[in-house]
Amino acid sequence: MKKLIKSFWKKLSTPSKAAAGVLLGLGFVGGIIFWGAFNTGMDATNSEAFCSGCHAPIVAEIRETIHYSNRSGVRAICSDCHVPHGWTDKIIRKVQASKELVAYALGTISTTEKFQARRGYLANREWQRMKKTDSQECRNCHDFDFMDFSEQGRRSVVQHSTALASGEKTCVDCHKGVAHRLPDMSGVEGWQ
Amino acid sequence: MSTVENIFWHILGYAAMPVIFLVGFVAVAAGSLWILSLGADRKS
Repeated sequence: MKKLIKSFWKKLSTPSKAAAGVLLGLGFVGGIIFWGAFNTGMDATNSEAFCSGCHAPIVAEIRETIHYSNRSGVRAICSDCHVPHGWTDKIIRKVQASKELVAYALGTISTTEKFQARRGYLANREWQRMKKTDSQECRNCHDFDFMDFSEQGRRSVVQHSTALASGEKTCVDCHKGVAHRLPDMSGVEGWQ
Repeated sequence: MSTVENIFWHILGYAAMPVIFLVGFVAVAAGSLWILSLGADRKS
């Protein structure tokens, strides 16, 4: 291994006989290929098929909700709500998700029964995450500044114009279970 | 997630970024050196 690193370093520190243009071209093209492959890999782990690998029961549940089928044909997939869209936050979330590989290896939610037993914990963790980020993933599509209160129900107008507008509450405080069935809600604040 | 856990994952997440760039550089460099070894830098 040491020998390999030494030989690699020797090659890196020895001037090439190739023209500067060739070297720059190799670096440029190589950079594009690497970055393209990296982002393709990231996108692959953001796909619904990838999420279904472990979370199949919960991925199927979205089909019954407005986030899957609606009059305008706009739909959300798992990563739209569960993975930050900004590059830095996305990387942090992906690194954090490496912990989930251990759960996969241990078969923590490998059966429907195991998954159902754990869904309350998983949902709670996700609600907490969204609360901390002020429901950033909701806000990627739903912008408070462009809400037309005349199109909303009376209760929504009251809550949005007061608690949401003041920042006292965030989307996920009320909008739980908008894409999945709710777990046992006993002990969850505001749901007694 | 507790604050400690949050800090831990943020540190790991930020640490992953230079690793990604470094691995990218090494991979591109290794590929480029191999291509050069077939052409301009081939030992005669």
